[in-house]
Amino acid sequence: MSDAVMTLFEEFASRRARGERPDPVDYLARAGARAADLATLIDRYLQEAPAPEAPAPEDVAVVGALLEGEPALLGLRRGRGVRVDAVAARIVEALGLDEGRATRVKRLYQRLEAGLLDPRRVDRRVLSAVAAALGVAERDVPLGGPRGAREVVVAFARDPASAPSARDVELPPEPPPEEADAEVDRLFGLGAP
Amino acid sequence: MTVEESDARDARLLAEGDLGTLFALHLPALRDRARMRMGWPDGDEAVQRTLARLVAELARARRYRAPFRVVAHQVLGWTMRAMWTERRPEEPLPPGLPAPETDGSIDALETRLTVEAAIARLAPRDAEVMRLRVMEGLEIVEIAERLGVKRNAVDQALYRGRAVLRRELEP
Repeated sequence: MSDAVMTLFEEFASRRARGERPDPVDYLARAGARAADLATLIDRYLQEAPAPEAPAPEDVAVVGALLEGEPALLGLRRGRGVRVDAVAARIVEALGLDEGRATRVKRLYQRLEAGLLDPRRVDRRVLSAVAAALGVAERDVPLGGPRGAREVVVAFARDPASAPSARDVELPPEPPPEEADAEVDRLFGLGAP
Repeated sequence: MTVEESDARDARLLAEGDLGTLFALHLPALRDRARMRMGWPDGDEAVQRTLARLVAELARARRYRAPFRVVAHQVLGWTMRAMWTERRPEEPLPPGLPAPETDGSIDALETRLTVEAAIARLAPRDAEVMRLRVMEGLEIVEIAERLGVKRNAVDQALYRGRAVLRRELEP
């Protein structure tokens, strides 16, 4: 194990011990060719370190939603007390979209929040705007839930007989496609890449 | 807070049924670990699957003898391995993932951890004898030779060690 790797690990561990939330991915990038060695150290450390004194409010909100069989992002937004309109407005502003697109942005954000869009295809600037609207770091935006919307978590967390499926989620009706909305659709990963 | 204090608090939260606080406390470490190994957003999905499984088990009145922290990270490891194998069969597994889960894997894990913890509480010589016997599988004669003691001394150490293990492993 090289001194450089140990130095990075010590910095990561000491920051975490102080209650900070250093991102392991940033440290692996700094480790360059030695990233695998550092990953092994951090992986072990994360398994063996004590949990924090108290949970972060955003983590409580996310877990609360999951335990209720709801999408994590919905729980986070509710926990932060932010309305959907505010998130949509932030996206419109951050991406320099015409204000007339706000309704479509809102509709697509709701689909994203419900787990009905593939987050891999969503433009990174949208995710940054969502993070800013919710007042969290971009990496704390919980978008990686099981695909196929909520079936997996819901099935585990609730009585399957009463669990709603993705098909039951009430969403605004799809408007007919318009040329002017194509850009918005692409930002949310819809249509041709 | 030490890891022992943290684990004790987890046990209290479990006893009180406060799964929200318990999971929220462990979410950052689970998420960081999963994202580091699986990337985003697969790492988030692995964590959510892990939490869902633990919720389901606890809802069925499952109780863990091992610290919740250990069980949660072990389940995450199995989940990441299964997802990786399913989605990226051509790519080598990230290092540090556990062996594939089999029926009774959690029970085996808990038993191993309980045995290790019990052995750690024995007197040093008794612990060494039990470790060689239980962990390395040596015969009594081999242990005596390894430690340079008489067979009778090994027998006595095993007798004391087994008594402790029996007490620890009883449900």
